[in-house]
Amino acid sequence: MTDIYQDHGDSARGLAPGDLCVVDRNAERAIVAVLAIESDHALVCLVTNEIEMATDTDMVLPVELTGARFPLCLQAAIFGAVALPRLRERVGHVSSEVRDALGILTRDEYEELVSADGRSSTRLRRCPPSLRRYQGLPLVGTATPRWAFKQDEAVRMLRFIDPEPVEDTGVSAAQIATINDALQRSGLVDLRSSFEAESQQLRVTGSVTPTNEPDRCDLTVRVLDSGSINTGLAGTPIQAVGSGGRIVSSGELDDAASITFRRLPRADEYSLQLTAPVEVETPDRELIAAAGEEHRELIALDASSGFEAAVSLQDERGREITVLGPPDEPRVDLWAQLSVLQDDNPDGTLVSPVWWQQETERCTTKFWLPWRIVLGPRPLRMTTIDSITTLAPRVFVLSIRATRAEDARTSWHSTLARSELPQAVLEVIRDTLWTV
Amino acid sequence: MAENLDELRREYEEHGQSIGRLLQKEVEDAAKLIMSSATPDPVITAEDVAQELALRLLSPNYRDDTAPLVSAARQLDYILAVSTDLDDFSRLLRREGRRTIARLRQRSVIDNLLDRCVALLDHPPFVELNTRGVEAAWALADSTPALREPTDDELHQVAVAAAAIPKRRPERGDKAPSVYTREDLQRLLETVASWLPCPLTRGTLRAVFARLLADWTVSVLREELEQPPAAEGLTPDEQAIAAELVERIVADLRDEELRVLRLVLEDRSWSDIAARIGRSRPTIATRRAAIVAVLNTHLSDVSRPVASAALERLQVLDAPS
Repeated sequence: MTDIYQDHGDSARGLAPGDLCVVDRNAERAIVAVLAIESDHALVCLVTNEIEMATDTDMVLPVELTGARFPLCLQAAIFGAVALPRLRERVGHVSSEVRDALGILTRDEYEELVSADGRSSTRLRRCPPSLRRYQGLPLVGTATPRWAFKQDEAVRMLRFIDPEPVEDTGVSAAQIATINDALQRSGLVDLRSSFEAESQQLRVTGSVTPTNEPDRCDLTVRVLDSGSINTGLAGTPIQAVGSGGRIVSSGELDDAASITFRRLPRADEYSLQLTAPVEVETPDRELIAAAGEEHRELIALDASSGFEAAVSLQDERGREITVLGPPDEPRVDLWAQLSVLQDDNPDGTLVSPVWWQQETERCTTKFWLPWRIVLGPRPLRMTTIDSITTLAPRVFVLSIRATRAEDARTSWHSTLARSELPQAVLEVIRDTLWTV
Repeated sequence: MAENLDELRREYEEHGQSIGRLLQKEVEDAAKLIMSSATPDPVITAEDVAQELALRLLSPNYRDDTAPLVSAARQLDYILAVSTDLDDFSRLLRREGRRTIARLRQRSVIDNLLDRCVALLDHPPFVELNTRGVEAAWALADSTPALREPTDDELHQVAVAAAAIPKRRPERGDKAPSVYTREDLQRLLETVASWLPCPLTRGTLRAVFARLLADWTVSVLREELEQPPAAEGLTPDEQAIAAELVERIVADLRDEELRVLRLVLEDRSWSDIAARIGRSRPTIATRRAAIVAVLNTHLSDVSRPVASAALERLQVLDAPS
């Protein structure tokens, strides 16, 4: 196996589409197949050795076709963008023919097969004939072990996506639960020692200082966005709720908050929960009226891309925007990952993995853009779709311009990748990461 | 016993395709642990599993007659590539052990199915073909199949066509699961015969079943391992209490504490646990104190059989990676 970074210093110049690499994040490793490479990340699909779980969107490849030392199952429909530095050893490589086949497997295209006696027929997901023998069998219903396996694999893939997506509505109920969970698991309920915990989205650190008073601890809590996530949550007030004791003070996200917690005399059980409530604002009628002027700009997409966009629904909550792909594009699903570009993070930070997707005859995606998304105390107002360009056969970039009330420098972009994840898998992702 | 993952890696580099002492111990431990949780099997022993698992781990030429086209060879390379520490390695090794048992069982499941198929093929609408002493072959009475072996592409298409025929989940302890009812097996044979342009033979049917049952035995075994045998002696109410206790204990333990607990339940030494978790012994001792506190909280007021059942359930839970 070759370590890409040993060979090529601190860049991934040695990485090529088709490479099978180990991906390493948060003390978890997996093998992925690189489908496309961009400046700072690679679009990859997840690979497993559990070849018996292959479905018709997977290819089970022998060592002769991969150069790896072991057979592998390449899961074309379980994919995502991972940061290049996460990719480690190269364990093999697949040909462009296999890569193209992986793309075909994610399309909703079928062939009609007829039995030898001509009396019956069945549908088979399209796959190049030369590679069909390596394709898995179709899923039949959802009550099968392979379906459950795919759901687990989709969630596993998400653990390698970097940076972690955050809810488009800021901190959601799920995220609040995560904070609570992190605190409880950190041993905070004991109020006896220092603690540190990193949850999926937030890092929680803190220390407890005993005082001379028998039932009192001074507790310093620091809750940070995890890693590189910086979505403007700074300054969001943390609400602390305790049981078996009394909260004296509270603090803000991204800021050391000195929290004093006084345990009630003889309280056998005591706990502390932190929440960081962030809500979507509903705009006033004037703002909605003003937005009508933006429609022209909204649909002014890069003409060369072949994409078209139009506002298909608008109400007090926001706008539904329908984006049509190029007329010659096959029928596909689109999976959107929305990022926010900020002054301190020009490469963009993943905000929302999926906004909306819908399959029609022509490559179509519907986005729901709320009028305002409040990320922390600073509201962002969505205004325009800027452009859509094709980067690679499987990757599109959708740029959406957004402004803050007080400054117009912030813009958004999203990466759209063709996907044909089973609906239930998409629902898992949706349930896990975002709420409508 | 390996102290850490690097030690295992070094041993593997030195031994190549032959199994080293440290890996042998890991393989034997994994096989014993899985077999202790599985329904007792008079045919497959822990030694059989360890032997087969070692082959799957190391042999580049390992052939698995239950896996079409691709056999799960050199799985040790895969496990080493994606393991982050010794505990992670052991977890993946146990998963490979489960796959190994599933494959061993699948052979007998398919053999039983083939015997039942032959009995059905001796009756209409099938006829036995005159193959002049070569392997027995059958076809639908009104068909004229070409006397040749099916191609992989043809077998794949047949499997796609037959995939919708329902399979039955076996009862717990059923060592000879039927998989298909008689009617469904008849339907399956007619489907295969109408899709294949060549005759049905035991070899052809074995290849079809290998495709159709690829995930079935693995999932059946997984379900079996997730049902701890100790729960059998309890009333349904007591089993429900044990299940609820497990949920509470898991909720109250940190991921690392859960990993430590599972290793404790595997009867591992504290130094072994410290090495596998990658922490110092004092740190593990701290974890142990936290675990004991949680277990005392939840198990002190329940009967001993219920507490034992809860602990056994905890042992077979997949620990967080």
